[in-house]
Amino acid sequence: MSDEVLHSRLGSLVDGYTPASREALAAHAVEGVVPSAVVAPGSVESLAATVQMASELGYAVIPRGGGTKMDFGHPPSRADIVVSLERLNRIVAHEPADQTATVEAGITMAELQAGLGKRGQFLPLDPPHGDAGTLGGALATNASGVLRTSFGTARDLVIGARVVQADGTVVRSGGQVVKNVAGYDLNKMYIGSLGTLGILAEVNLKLEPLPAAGRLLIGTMAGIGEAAECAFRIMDSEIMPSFLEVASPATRFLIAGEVAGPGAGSRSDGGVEGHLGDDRDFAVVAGMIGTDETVDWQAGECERIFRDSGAADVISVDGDGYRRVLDGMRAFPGGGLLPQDMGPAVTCRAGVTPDGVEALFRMADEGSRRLSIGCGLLSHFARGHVAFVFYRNGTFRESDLEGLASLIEDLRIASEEQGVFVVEHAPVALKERVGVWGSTRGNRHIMEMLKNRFDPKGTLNPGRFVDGI
Amino acid sequence: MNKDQLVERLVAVLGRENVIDAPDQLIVYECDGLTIDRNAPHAVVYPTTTEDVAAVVRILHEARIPFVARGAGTGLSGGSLPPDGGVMIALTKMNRIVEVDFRNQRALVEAGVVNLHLSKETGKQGYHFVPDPSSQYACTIGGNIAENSGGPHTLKYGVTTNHTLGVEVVLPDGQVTWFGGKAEDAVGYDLRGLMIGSEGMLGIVTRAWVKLTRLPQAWRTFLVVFDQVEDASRAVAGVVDRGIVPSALEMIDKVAIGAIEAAYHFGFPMDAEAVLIIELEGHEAGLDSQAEAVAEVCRENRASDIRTAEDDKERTLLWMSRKRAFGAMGRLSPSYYVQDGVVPRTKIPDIMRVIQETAGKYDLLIGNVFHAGDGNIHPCIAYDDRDEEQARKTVEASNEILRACVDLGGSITGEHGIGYEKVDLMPLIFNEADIEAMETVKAVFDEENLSNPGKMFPTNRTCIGCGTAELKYTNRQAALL
Repeated sequence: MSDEVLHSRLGSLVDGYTPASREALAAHAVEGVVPSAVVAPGSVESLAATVQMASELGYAVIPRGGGTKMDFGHPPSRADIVVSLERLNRIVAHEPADQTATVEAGITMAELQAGLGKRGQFLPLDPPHGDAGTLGGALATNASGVLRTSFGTARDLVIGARVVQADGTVVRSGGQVVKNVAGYDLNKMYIGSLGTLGILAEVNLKLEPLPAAGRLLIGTMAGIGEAAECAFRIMDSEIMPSFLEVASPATRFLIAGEVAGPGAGSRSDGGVEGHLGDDRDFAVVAGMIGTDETVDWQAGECERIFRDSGAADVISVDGDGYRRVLDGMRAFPGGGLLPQDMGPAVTCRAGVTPDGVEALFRMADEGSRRLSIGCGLLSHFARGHVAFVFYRNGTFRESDLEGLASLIEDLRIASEEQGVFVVEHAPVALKERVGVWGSTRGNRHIMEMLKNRFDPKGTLNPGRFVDGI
Repeated sequence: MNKDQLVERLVAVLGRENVIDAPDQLIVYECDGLTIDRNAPHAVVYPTTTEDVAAVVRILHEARIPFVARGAGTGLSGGSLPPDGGVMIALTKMNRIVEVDFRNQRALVEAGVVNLHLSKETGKQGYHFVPDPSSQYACTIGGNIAENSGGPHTLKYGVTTNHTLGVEVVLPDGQVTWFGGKAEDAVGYDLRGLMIGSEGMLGIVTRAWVKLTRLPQAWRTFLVVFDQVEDASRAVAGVVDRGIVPSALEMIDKVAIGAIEAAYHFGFPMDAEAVLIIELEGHEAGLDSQAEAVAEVCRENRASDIRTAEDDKERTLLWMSRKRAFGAMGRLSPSYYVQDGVVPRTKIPDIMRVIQETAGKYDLLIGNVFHAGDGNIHPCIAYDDRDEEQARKTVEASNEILRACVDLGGSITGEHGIGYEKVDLMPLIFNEADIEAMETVKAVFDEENLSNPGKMFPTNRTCIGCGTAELKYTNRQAALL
């Protein structure tokens, strides 16, 4: 099929379509695979028609939101049409008294929260890349942030969806009400499927009221053992932390920079060439939200536990500082908490039980020091989630990648005893060495069958997901 | 394989004591909490391990014999109604709490563990399992997972799927696997999420890792009295609109109050048109100011009295009375039929009007006791099962109420499931393509359609409600006592 045919078909299905320049196409390459067209449908119907055409003519479709995670997964086996959801960016309905909203998937997280905030509510989902990243992108990758400690992940917050299937059929799952068990819970299946079963076009969300007050406490701990023990004590206390983070020295240093605020000093010595300086302290960061009274009580209790756990220092942060630290932690591991002048980082995540976090911290810390590369770690501790950022000034050398590959393999073996280890942002060369997703634990066949039945022609994101799905 | 040969093979695997096939013993298993529809299984088996379940399922798969899993049989939508010529796999002997890991706040349980037993076991250390369906003293966690059960306190904390980390599953061909596990974020498609709420149609859950949640430091429980249902309904949306998320927000109307009071003598006001049970949970600090805000909303909506549960004993009695309300409804008539619709909570005044009008139109007595905070209604229609005309009107009235829920932007089930009861109402909320997507999933897991066939999917696609279960055989609803 010639590109002229493709462009003319797209022109008839998507208003305002013009073929992209060679440069624009190159800029939309997915892990080196350059598409033939980039298109941004203006309605769900136009999106569906585009996918239907692609399916009929055998083109591969790469859905795109804000473009912040296009390097996730394996390189696609084919990439013909990049379908951007940037024009599907409306809040269709928001009913504050029902605490629900209907939203198009192409809206950025920042725009979504600003819109909901006008009426006193928010979506308690705070993935990395919050400014440019879209809701749809966060859902496709099941991305989450610090608030998952208290509010769960996207699978706990999406109550309904309109999905464009691989043949262009638009289907609904779930509904508009917060409690609903009619039919299979297909929302869960689409979330985190990297767009390989269908494109989430519009979703219904469960919202929360904006809290009256927010505060966080940072406790400085001499080692990861002390930090983990302190976090366990908070989990077992009557505090109901909105988030509970354990940060490695490099990450703690950068969080401290956010507390101090802009202009308070250089952030540049967080790990140049892997040398972290003398600062080997870890941090536990606990958040409290709610009315002033409960925040006060929890902060008092939290400080007591920090002190009892041997914290060298306890800082309480609210107001602008609270907002900055929260934004900084949310940006991690998207790069916002990366020291200045560092090259593109390699980021990974692990999902283990809370008592598995300490071992991963030790392994990553020792491994990165051995390799003389920088390493920042942040754990949503109660959820057993660990985000890893490996970096150096300049770009990684071949010898770095070799060492990093072996470190990642060790971390993966340790994580997969009970959980998972996923490589997120990384050079293709590294992904080819260590893989991306890790083990599907005996469920490969079911997942392949789901893909084959929902997308028999391999139209959507072919090859990028687990086991090459 | 004839029936005798089948029983012989089942006995060989499980032992005689774990296989029931005598017709008089099978009567108990003809239905669950939805007693309108009945069907006797060929046999009932009681496996005690996952391997047992797998061995049984392999035999049935090989012989192409359909099967259904069953917990305590408290389901209200006929989800565990035996398929024709099928075998029932009862999981109540798999009732071990295998591991409680307080440090990581999760527990490994077998499917037959009774919901309340887990909370009792962990309560001593200050933890509980959040989902609390009204039948929690009897229902099993496996059943909760199959139906994605809720309960009064899921308003704040979410339903079963939000508290289940992983499930061990015997697939319909007898293979055993885990979807999710002890840790979160399993890679690939969320098979765990698909499995929960799939009503036993994608396989049989035999064990699960579930979350344990810290018990709150303090609570305030209120009984708020209203002279008008309308006022109580508006107060519900008013509380939520104020940015307050109670842990529970329940409504009981006059008919139900009469029945509950006669049964449990809690001291409900008999002359009230409606009461709300509102519970706030959290830290002692700040709870009173939140309580005052709730009281203010109630007064703005013309509450005539606001009573506070004085102590733990009174609170427990109040919740016991609420949770056993359906049982109390049995005092009003020979039979009753509970529905389970959902509306956006701002539409509660509208749906309450519809229910009132429907009761008048069909000349039926309808009591309401339900989870108002999440808009999950439970109209309970009192009728006489010996009166065919009344039984027919009961189903018609019930369907009419569910249609109204859908018209108001809601759903036909909030926590009871589609089961067998509502298969022909599915087209009210899903079109052909939506349902095909679900059938695609079913075919991936269960190509032979052996695991709980005949549930969820409509039998008649063109006429909504046509095939709805006729009241062919009725009985007093198994009182949930």
